[in-house]
Amino acid sequence: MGDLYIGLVLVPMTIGALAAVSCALLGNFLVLRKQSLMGDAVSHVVLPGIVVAFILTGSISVGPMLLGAAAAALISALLIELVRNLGKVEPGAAMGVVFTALFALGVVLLEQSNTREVHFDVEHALYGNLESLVWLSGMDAGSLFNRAALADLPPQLGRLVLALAAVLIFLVVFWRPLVVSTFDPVFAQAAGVPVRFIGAALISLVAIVAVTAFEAVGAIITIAMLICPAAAARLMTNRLIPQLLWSVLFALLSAVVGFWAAGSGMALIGSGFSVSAAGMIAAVSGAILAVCAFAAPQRRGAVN
Amino acid sequence: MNVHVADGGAAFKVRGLSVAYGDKPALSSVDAVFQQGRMSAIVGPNGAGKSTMLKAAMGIIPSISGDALFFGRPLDEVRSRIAYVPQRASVDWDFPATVIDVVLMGLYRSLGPFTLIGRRQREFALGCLEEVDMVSLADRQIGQLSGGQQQRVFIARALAQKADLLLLDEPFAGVDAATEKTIVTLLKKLVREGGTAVAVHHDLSTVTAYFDDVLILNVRRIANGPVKKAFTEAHLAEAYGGRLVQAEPELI
Repeated sequence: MGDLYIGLVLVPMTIGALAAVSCALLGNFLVLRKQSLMGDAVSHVVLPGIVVAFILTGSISVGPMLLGAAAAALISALLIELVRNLGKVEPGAAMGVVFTALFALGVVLLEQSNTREVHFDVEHALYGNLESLVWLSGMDAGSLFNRAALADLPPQLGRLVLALAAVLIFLVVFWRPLVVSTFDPVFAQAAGVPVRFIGAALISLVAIVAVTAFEAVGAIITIAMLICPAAAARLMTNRLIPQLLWSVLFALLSAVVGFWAAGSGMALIGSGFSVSAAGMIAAVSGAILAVCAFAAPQRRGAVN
Repeated sequence: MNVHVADGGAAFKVRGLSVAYGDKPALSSVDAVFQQGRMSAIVGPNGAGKSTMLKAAMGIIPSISGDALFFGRPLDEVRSRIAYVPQRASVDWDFPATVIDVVLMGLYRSLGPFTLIGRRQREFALGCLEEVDMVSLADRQIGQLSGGQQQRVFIARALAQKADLLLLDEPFAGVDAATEKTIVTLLKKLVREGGTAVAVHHDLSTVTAYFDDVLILNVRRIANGPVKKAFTEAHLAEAYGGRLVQAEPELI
């Protein structure tokens, strides 16, 4: 283990894993509620929010960006409801219209604005910048106990820990109403489950996690992790809690294998360059899903 | 206390209930009463608003006007005394759950949010499954059930709610004859013990055999009362637009 291993590999890998696990946990419920597109929508509309925040404040500091992203996520959720009700179209169509339009708006704004100087561009938004989230003070295991060195950790790490904590607290506190309203919303409403509140809380949490993950690791991982691990996990088991555990395992596997493959893996096969870690992590999650689709025990789903 | 107390015998009552989907009226100022300790059917042609009436009464879909009373009180005061059984086809049976998991959802109101499910709850749920002859399938994945078995699971979940009033939306739609018999026998037993059952029903040929009371509906109320009095050819002709009344059960 090299001296810089912790700082250059372990820290960015952990950041990728935290983002992946938070997204995967929520993704289970999006997949079961046939709302996978919602994660996609939220991740896309975050872009114009961040760009507008940048244009307004002229800085890429985190506060305004998270606010802008959150505002955009909220506006998109309202727009989706609006298109759905006014156009009388199915939710998927409404989401497709809204998030594509807003994402395109974000790209145009980005091109027009003066963002090049501050290293803020389309690529950054898509792939994030996982490789740069290193901890240069993390020279050896000893720095894990050094207060000054710890203060130098990438701030994204702390924010993603908080996001994961929020997801876990939500799942524990609202587990029963969440499960009942996901399986049978009509029964749930009759039994007095706050169905609308639970649905809104789930989507808000997806937005928060998407924004936090987006800022650290880009849109690609966020979108992939909201769908792939949960969809693959569904094929592994017919029970909900095991499904959640499988999805976490798949998310961790994607993050670790993907991060390794993007750097050392490419060197190992004699390639002179490394590839985007975020892209590779997303690709690994897709590969896991493909393998599960062909070989997982429950791939046939319901018989009847 | 108030005027509703006078209707002590009514388990479920709607007053002037109107619902619309867009510009299309689905229910037009419907009044209906369902007596305690009776088994009642709601019949009418497709699109008559039968399911809509139950859903609007339970606050699942919004109503334009009117209200519903349960045991003389508004829904929120007596929600725990009511079990609602949705149409079997309204959920995705590919959900990762077993039969007993679904039955345990019936304990939602009686269990606090943080009470873990233990042996006592599982025993109770198994007892509910026993009532519908499904104990042997307790650990089966719900996607592997037949239509009749799915309906039995829903009934068992309603039993787990220990309700005084069962509202059932098409409990016999697409189920096998054995399941239909099991459910009817069970509902009749519950009603004998003082419970009340109200079911949206499609098969006019079994109304007399299964039910005590009937509501004949076609957007507005056509007739409501004991089967002997209300379930007449004239009322049915009015509801079904004069067409010959079909005797076969309609499947979804």
